Amino acid sequence: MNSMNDLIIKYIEGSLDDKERTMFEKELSNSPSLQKELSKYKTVFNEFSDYKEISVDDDYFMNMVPRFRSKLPGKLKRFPLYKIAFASAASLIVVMFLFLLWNRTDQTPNITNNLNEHELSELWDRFSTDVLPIEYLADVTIDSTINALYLNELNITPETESYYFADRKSDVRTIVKDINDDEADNIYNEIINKKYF
Amino acid sequence: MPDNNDFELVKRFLEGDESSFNRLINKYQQKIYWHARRMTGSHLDADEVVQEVLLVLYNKLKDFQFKSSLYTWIYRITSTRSINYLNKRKLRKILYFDDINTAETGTKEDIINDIDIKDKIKKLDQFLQILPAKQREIFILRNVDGLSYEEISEITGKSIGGLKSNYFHAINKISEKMKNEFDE
Repeated sequence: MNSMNDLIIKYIEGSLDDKERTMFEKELSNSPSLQKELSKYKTVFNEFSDYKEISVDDDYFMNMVPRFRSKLPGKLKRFPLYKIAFASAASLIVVMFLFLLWNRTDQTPNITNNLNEHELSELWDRFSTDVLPIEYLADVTIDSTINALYLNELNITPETESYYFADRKSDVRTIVKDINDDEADNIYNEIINKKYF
Repeated sequence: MPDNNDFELVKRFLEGDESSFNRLINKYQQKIYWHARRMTGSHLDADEVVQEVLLVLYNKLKDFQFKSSLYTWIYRITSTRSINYLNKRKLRKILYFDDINTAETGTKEDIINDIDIKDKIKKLDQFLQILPAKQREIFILRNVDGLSYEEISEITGKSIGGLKSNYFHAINKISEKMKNEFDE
């Protein structure tokens, strides 16, 4: 921003002192380009002066706090047993986590038990570091082996598999229709927090 | 009559007096609303931002240390929430959520009743929307709200030189747009 622009803005805002204002006006009377520039700035200032005091519906502001209060979970927040409830929920989560951890340890050997010797050796060969991903991507046998591992890990039987994967070919629009407002909001916040913008 | 200064109101609210929060909001609600409206360009968007800002204030006032003025802190929250809201709106378009998130807001389409004023403000909002969000924020704070560069610097965290430069660019962009509109 050059000093002349700064002077023009200060002149319009009325923040020049007497000496500066006299000098500016003298310059202004001798410079058509400065007059043009001043006129341009004045147009913007004049137009936006209308955006300062606007008469509006007072009800909106009168209802602003009550509307906010109605959405506030105040009773829950001041519920005397809130901390106890929170502690109980946290304990339950810990117990469930330990339970699942215990079961997981027990089930791990079962996954490999479900594979025959051929499948295991093939899996081992294909995932060794000297095989490029491109070489095993198109392999149907290995895909079915991995699928079998996933299904076993997720405890999905062949009967229920078709139910879970029935809409495998859904496009993004179909999936999005199943997302509710809260979930969508979470997605936005996740993306915004990653600072893509 | 109870003291209406910010420090006392915040103090009493934190001590459990909920009515102090109401009084604080009554004091600043116009500033919050109009800043959000100028940033987002519409009443309905501004209304959503306002409700978010009130919730942030309600939850975060306990962390406010009075190291800056309360109103500059409120402006900062309103600006941040408005910019986040605008980013969300962009994402809605990208991710096809546009037709899904049309929740009932419980408020009418606009609060300006006079049709001529409404048209005029709509036009000014359109001029503001041509500016990048950060530049728009500076233009609004300086030109419309009449804050000093020092206050704007406190809100935006930018240097005064940077603010002046952005303000000048914003005026030029709006001026060009106005010229094109008025010449048509």
